[in-house]
Amino acid sequence: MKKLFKTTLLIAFSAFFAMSFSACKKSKSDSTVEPSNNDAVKTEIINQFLGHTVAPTYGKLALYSDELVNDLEALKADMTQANVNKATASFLEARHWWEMSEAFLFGAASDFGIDPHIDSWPLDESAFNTLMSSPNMIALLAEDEDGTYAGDNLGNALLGFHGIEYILFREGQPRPVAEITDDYMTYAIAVARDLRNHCVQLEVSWIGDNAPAAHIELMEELEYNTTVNGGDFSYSENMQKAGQAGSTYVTLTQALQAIIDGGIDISDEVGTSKIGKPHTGEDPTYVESPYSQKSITDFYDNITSVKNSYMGGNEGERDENKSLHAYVKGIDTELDSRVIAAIDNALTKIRNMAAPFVNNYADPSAGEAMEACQALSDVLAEAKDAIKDN
Amino acid sequence: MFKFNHLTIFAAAGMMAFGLASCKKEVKTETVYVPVQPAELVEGTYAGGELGTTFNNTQTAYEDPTPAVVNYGMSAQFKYGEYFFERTYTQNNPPFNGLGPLYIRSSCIACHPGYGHGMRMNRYRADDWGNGYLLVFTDRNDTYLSSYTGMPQTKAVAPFKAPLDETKIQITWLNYTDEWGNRFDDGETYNLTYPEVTIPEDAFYVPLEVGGNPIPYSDFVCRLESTIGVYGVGLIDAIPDDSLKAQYQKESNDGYMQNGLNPAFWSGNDWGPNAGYVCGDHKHPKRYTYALTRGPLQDAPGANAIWNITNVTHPTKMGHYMTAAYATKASQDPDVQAEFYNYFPDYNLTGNVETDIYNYLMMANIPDSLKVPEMSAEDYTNFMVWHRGLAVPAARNLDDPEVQRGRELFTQMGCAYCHRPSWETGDDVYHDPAGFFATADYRLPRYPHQKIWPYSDYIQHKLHMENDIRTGWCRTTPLWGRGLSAICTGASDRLHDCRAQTVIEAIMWHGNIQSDARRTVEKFRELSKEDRDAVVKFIEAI
Repeated sequence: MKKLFKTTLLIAFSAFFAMSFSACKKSKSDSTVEPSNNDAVKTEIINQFLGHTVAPTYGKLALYSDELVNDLEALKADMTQANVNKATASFLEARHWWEMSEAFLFGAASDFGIDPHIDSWPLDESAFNTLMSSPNMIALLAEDEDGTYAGDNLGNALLGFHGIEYILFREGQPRPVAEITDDYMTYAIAVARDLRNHCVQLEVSWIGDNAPAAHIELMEELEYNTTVNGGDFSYSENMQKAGQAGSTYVTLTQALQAIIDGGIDISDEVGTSKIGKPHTGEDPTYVESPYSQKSITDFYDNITSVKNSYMGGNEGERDENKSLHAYVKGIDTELDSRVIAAIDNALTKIRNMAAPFVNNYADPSAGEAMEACQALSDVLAEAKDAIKDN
Repeated sequence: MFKFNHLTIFAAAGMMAFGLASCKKEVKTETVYVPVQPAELVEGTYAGGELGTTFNNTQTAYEDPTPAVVNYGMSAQFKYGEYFFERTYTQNNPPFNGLGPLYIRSSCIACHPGYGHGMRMNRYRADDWGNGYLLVFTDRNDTYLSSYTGMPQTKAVAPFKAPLDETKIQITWLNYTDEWGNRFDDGETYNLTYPEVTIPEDAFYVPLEVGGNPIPYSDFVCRLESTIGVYGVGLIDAIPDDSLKAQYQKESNDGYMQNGLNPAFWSGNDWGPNAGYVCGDHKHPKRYTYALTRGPLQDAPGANAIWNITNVTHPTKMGHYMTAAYATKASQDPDVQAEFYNYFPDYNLTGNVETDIYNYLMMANIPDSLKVPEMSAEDYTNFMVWHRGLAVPAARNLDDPEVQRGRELFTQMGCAYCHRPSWETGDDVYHDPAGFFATADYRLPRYPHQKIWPYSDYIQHKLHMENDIRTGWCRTTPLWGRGLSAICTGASDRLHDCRAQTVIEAIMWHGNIQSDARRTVEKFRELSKEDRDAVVKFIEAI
């Protein structure tokens, strides 16, 4: 869900005044992009987004989810604290890249239901306990070499990151190895294999033939859909061919708007829901990662994901000349400045939150981060609107 | 409060207009609701009226709050309510707890992917993403089984067993060739396929019964009914009862429908015996679901689904969605008896395990101390703010000449007769048959006096399709927003069981010789390819 409209009149008035004094300015500097119906420019921005934000993010997600499977298998074979710690490290790395992808949950993550499949919370502890007391189910999971039995039969409330988090973490720390039973490991490995399958599905769905051959092969073996609406296009091709026959995007501008929309959606989600609901309702049950206590890291990564989408690539491979930032700047310099300031402000306010969130959700610093994320969502909505006729 | 809010908003709008008059830059309407002059846009663009339309046309277009939600200051409640639609329920872990003892899905969005229509499936699994199918169990006379819930459950939490084993359900897609050989006169072809569902006798845990009496397995029939999108349903609730009655009267007087009108809903010149949905001491005409089973939104599919799909209880629904046949079967099952008190120690009330299981499942003879709603009143209120607050995407490209040609043909051919383009909402003094909300309760958004464009008459007609919907009577499905389905949900399957994968297929499934839409389809067949494409483009635009 996204939010197009401001929630308070105060903010509306503020926006009005800001707009009324700045709306006539259309200054252009050398680093801006001339937007007027320039399909080549739009395509370049889309390609930069696909090649330098989406592709590396999902590539790393697939890589570390695979590593997580390997580390869990190694742990099961040799139950040492060092191996627990190693598995938690690869878990956090995979988790990091998943959260770094949440500004583009549209496309494969939504169409194939991957988001709820791998990131539902809370874990259903009653169902978990039932599972652990069922030797038949444990035996089936132990035989589940490719993770498909788990994926088909456990249900979203036992699958994904939070199931593995429950096994590996307590109170923000790697769990003592003595607490982790062999059945727990059987479960964690089956869930991790299913997680890996869907992370690879994200990668292959977006990157298509450019994905690693082994990953393409895995998708073929599992018979997972990796194209848009079962057709010929990968999700990247679908976006690159915006405005052409067969693409779900009617225009290139709509594709650019979709990228901004992804940022609106996640910044509103982080502000209003992920931080806002525990904070305003003073209800810790709404805290998403209570076992690893990495909620604040998740929030920071989510907003970084927005930054990478807007600024023309992930850190280290960014090209601001081929970015929404440059494009919006070409239309309205002041608006672009406000977007960048809102991104930076949200990141700062999240970094300043009292940690861990599960114990500090009522702290004023959480309220400040909530408002900063909501403000980012609002200014991105303005940016989405500003490019609609260009 | 209400008045103040509106006055202030209009003041803000006025100031914005003033502030922007001095330069040429276009106003950004996202900042606050500003009534934009409809004269500037082709009529019909505001699909949900000014209070109910979003101009978002990207992937979240089905998920936006209406301007009314914003005007009422309900944005946060809307967002909190959205959680209960999107999130996966658990048995006991708050905040999304209460799943079971039996359930159909563990989340609402599982059936409404991207808030839209269900997807065509090749198998029935409750956990398969996009599976919006509900199983419809009847005998050969279209009477629902009494031993299964109207929407049969295929999932159970321990120690219970599912009423039937979903892994044994077979969905087979069969080809159908219409009298024109699936071909237009200019040579263009189309595919027609339809589902056949078979379930072996050993898949059923609960006996097959109608009216409490066993029926032979050979009399058992299963059909599929898919979900449709959930956006805009609050606006439908705001259509006045007498406007619906006038539509029935008009269609009755016109007599164009070769199958007439369903006598259960219209008889002579007045409502039929089944048309009214009881609300206190009066009734409202039913307007929701294919089978027209529901009236006011506050007790319509969404308000019920949050309970009966997951079996999560809330203040107006404290029982389980359950049949006595299942409760009897489970209470006598030695496996269940052996484990019941381990899982439900609080329900060891009589010492007789069979009685305790039966009473738990039926929520009968249970002390008040155990009758605590799993979903709180506040959460249910937020859920209903969200539900009643979902906007409809604006129609797109209505100024495109090809779309305009399609619009003209849509009317000329008679599509617009049942897919009635527009309605005027009334005062929207809404009702809640369940009594949780007061009439026109201030807690939910309202949509008074809006011109809305759903493209439905909200009346049932017959299309006489192969393996037809139960009874053959199907409420005209609204067409608004469907053109965005691929981008919002990843699929764009159509009709009640997703048998159509394109607009053309959906139209041609209306063409049976006995169908109420027969003459319209004949006219459609007479069009040039260019004109057929224009009709499709118009349907995708609205």
